[in-house]
Amino acid sequence: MRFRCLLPILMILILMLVAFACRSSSGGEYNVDRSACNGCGECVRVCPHDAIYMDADNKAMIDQSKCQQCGNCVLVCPQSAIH
Amino acid sequence: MWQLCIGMSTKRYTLILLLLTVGWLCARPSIWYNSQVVSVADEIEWRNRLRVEQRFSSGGTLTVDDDLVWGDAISPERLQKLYHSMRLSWWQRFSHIEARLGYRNTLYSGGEKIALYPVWQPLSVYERDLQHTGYLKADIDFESWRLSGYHLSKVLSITPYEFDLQDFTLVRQAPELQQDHFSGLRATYQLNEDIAISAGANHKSNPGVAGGLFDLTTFSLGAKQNWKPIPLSLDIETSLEWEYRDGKAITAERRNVLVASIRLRHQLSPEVSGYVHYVNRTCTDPSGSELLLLSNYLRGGVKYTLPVEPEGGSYVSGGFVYSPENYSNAVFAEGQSKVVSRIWAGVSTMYRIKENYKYTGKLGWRFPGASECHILYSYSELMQGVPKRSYFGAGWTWYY
Ligand code: SF4
Ligand code: SF4
Repeated sequence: MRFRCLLPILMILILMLVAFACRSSSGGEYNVDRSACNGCGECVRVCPHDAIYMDADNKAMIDQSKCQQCGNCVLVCPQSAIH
Repeated sequence: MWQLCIGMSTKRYTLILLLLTVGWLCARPSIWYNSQVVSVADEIEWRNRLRVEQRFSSGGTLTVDDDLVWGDAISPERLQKLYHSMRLSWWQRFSHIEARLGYRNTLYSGGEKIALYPVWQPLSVYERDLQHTGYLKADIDFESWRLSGYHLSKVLSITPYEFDLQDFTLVRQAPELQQDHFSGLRATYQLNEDIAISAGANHKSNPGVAGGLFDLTTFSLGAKQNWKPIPLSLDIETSLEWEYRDGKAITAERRNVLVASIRLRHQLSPEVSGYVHYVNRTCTDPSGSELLLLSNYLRGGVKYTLPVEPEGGSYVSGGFVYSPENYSNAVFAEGQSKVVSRIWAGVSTMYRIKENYKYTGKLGWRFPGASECHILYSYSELMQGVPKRSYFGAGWTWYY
């Protein structure tokens, strides 16, 4: 067993536990899970602020400067990839 | 140049698309085409997806993706009657370089007027017309280093409408172009077999928008570890990234963001596989002294391949997403199986807790070589308050 590999995992788990204990920020933001996105473009069609574009790998990207956090893209994503 | 492209008529655009497709067919590429017509109440929707891929002996791959969605009415799931997106992409691998070059053309027609920039121009609405996107992405590997760079430019032609406060009407304005240019560089260093560290910078500019309101620059530092305790069976990937964002549209709290993620994939047996993925985003308060929770995202799923067909086309799968901060908690399940001979049946469901749901059932016929045709029935509620939609459809998928 290579223990050095367990170190980053432990560190990240501790960070996540710490983060759970934090108070929430006043605003949120939406992001795309790239591994779950299938490039269908449904989110691009419903975004009322032109804040989503498809990148060079045909994965949806949210332009954080334009997103108004309406949540429409979350509702139509067939992969539930937007969170 | 962009002006010239925007001015290109729809007829010429269709002709170029047709010529490209015919030229390609002569080169015997692999083709996948899916078409589906659905009827919702008294509306009709037609969806077409085409993928043509040609591999060359030089190692390059040329791909055309075409996505056309047309409906005779605007629906909450589609803000325009016609959406047509065509992508041409070239992928090439040289000895140490992997490059991707592409162009995407998106046509919006018969669209709802949308408040593209409600904060900036509260009394303006827009119609999206035509969008051109061009990109170039390259990764260069050199011993333990990997250098990655990209540029993507997006030019959207829009027709603005301004609200006349005296007449209470919308007044059409001269068409405009909205440009977004994204570029980025990233350097990654592989410390050992499992661990890599990286640093990167991205810049996005929106020329023409007063005061650079949508300009954004980000710097990031990250570390990633990929550990395979049981090769080909168990794979654990963890990553940690700090991102600093500088842009007028970014709130003070979201300037420093810390993203921690862990992903586990396990092939438990030849038939059963599963995964768990967790991402946590935290930011800091404006003074930078306190960590604040931005969002959690936990996703998991299992898939069981039924030993009915040798191709593994029969399966059941299920999963969930837990992300309470962004109201995207969901459970989903899907399954399809051969019923008898060439007839197969499939069901899928997606239930977004307290938000919406969709159930779909399919019955199909498979031809030799994976092509198929099917009929489907779907029942869904997009959001509370929007009438439930129940629709029948028919579709076919063709492989060449
Ligand atoms: S709707 Fe979901 S799966 Fe489709 S492109 Fe957008 S993020 Fe990806
Ligand atoms: S939350 Fe709304 S504005 Fe933001 S990307 Fe999704 S659809 Fe667009």
